[in-house]
Amino acid sequence: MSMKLTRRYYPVREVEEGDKCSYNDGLLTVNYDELIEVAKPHCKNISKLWFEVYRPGENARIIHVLDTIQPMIKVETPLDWGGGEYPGILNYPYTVGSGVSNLLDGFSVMQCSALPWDESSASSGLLYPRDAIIQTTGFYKNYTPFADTINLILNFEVYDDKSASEYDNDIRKSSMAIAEHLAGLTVGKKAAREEVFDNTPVEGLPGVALVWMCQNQGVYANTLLYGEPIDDIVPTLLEPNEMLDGAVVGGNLAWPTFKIPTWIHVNGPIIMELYKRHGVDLNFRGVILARSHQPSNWHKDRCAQLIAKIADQIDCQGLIIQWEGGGNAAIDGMLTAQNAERRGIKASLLTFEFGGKDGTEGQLLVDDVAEADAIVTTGSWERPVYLEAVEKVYGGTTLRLDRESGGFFPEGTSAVDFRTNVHMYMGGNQSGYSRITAHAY
Amino acid sequence: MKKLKAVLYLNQFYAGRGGEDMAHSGLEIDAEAKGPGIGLQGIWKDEMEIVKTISAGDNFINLDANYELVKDEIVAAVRDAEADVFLAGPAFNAGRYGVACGRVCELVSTELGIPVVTSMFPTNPAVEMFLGKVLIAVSTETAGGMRKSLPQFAGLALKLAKGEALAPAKVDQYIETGIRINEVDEHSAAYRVVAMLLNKLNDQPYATEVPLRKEKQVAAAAAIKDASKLKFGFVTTGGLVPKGNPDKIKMYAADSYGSYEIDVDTFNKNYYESIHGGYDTTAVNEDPQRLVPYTAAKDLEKRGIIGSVAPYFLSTSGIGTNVGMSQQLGAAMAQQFLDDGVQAVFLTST
Amino acid sequence: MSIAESVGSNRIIIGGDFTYPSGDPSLPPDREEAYRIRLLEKSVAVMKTPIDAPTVFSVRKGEGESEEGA
Repeated sequence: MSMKLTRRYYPVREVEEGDKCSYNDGLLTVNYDELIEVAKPHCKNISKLWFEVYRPGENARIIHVLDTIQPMIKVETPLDWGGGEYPGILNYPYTVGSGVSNLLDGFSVMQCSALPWDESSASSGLLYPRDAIIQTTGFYKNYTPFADTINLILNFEVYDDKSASEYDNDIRKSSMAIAEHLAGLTVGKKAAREEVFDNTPVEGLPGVALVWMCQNQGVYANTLLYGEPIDDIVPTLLEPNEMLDGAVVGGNLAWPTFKIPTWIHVNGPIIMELYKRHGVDLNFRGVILARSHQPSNWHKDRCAQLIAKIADQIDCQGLIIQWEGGGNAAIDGMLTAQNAERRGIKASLLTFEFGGKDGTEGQLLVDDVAEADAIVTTGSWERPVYLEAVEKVYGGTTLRLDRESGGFFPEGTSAVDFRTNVHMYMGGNQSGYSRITAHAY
Repeated sequence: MKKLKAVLYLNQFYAGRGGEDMAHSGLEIDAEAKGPGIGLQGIWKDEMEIVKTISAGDNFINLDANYELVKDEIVAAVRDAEADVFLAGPAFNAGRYGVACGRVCELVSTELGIPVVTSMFPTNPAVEMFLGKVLIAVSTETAGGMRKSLPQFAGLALKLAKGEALAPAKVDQYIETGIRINEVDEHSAAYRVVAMLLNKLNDQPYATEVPLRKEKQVAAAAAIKDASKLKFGFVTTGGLVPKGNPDKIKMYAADSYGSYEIDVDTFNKNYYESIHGGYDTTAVNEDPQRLVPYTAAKDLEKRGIIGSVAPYFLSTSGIGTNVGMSQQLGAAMAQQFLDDGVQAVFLTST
Repeated sequence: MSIAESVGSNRIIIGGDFTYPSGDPSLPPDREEAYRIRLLEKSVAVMKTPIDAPTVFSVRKGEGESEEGA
């Protein structure tokens, strides 16, 4: 089984305001009133929405970042079933991954909001959006692709006394609507380039699948599959192209360093790497999606076994294991590696490490199994982070830190030091995007 | 450009004075390269040369009395040579030679402040003694691999002499010291994890980037004989605190703990909460005894199963708590208990 | 559980669940307290047991239920 998807890329080289939204040859013209009209049906709990534009090269910081979306629109679906990109969010949840999708390239729609701190959510202290920061210059810009993309920043303010679930839902749907509207401007236009993603097997090459374990622990810490939270899914086999078309959407806002933005779900670095090698070194058989942070040992073993079973079932000789989250998720990842290896399926995995201030303190890993002999490091999250002052801040004006110890609110542009990289968007590098790593000296 | 100057320490064998039978021979200083030194010079070409070779028998130098006698002479020789770098070895997997190399390197480094480097096979017993104090180039296991071992030895010595920064251990081929620095690599982690799997699948060599944990075992405490005579205490890492977290214990990477008196009348959800952010705290917020089962312990006390219960609990939050810090906190908690006559502890963890 | 064993905790009791180690919200309060008492009794018994390596013990709900009845 395989799927074929054509992606057409429309680069955004500049964004300007104008009387109405349009896309022409790299120039994206936006009209904010038009975008607010598009967003309105999904803004029952939003009191205010306004826009900013970040452009690459600015000495800036983006704060209060929630999710970041790849604007995309499905223009051809097989058999004209209908549905569309990001199935289950705004579009009907028909299966995606084939046909043609148009993407605005080098451009993102980014949600920023200082969501209420005292909002009760599913699990008291656990699940509130901690302040997420993107620094666009210096060493830390390497954590995300968004220092080098034009980002349309959607600033949200919400009404008091509504639920976390209502805020979460409105912010997601209204920004998806805006992203779809902007991507829709490319329909009928000529793309700058096209890429075909086709994982038809080639004889004689080893089968490899990507295991992708995502967080789902309640509102503000969910991942959606075809529109539904993955709370109690069994490991589920997807075609890689389903990921590319947005079958998985990130709703995980709790831990900035660990959460995987939707933009990364649909432009998965490891997926792209495996596709590059498909038909050359390997057969990219699929993506096994599972929930990480399984809630008990009983669930963890059940999940790890099923993942390995699926890998075996689809004739994989190798697995790459990726997870979203901290220590709890690492246990699931390691158990999965163990289950795979014991079945004769070779595994490699990637994880951030600890090590204290310079690598020599304590342990590097919170959990491991003897079978985990092929680990790539995504850097240490435990090193101090020193953010230099910047000229401009987007998404807000004041940082919001240390809720548990009474709150600390430095100026958004000021220099700030952290004990770990917990506040850096994608700092844990769990998707493998970043070239930041921990070099052993 | 003037040639840089190196001084090389060898044992009696590599200096050409004989084998095991000459291991007792004393210190000798030659004003030229010998043994592996010649190979090193061949690699350095015009950039650096060995101006002195210092050698001693492995048995000789490893006797403390002898070492004390000759160490000043060694230091003087290196100082007079105006060396830009000092080398010792390669010692391969030879333990006595490795210890000698490590020791003289440390001596020169301490007394003269010039850069030093030795060369050994990673399982040489001397590695554990000198890692972190002396730079150790990676060598093969036996002298049969001399030609494979010299390039990295020479390369490191030259970098040190020139004052150049070292590359990561895998690149410059020295034994990892445990120091790990976040830096930008040539390739993304995504690229590397796929490349590593392919090597594994194709039976090609690959090296994990993260060594697995080495647990330092804490010996089990001896079994207690008579619990009915002992005072018991409570510790939790579930982040249980009085409402409002008065001691501002950090939710993650905690670096402190709190000590909180228990009053049975107020040990309930109205006065306590958990600030741990790594698990669903609903159940424990409903009832703090799901972390600190105080009344159950009092029941055991009443029935004489245990002697008494300390009327307080110690608490911290166990997410992402640095291991070194955890050891410190644990030791401090243990001391507080000991000072209070507590000799057994129930610890709950989430 | 695997972490406690692997970091070298020597005496390990598996209690409720990791979100309520000494308790069980599914039980009515008096049964939950009885469970807690059994957990601590087992803990004391374990402390009186000589061991030389990380060892895991468990106290299952319903095990050794009180003879006096519910």
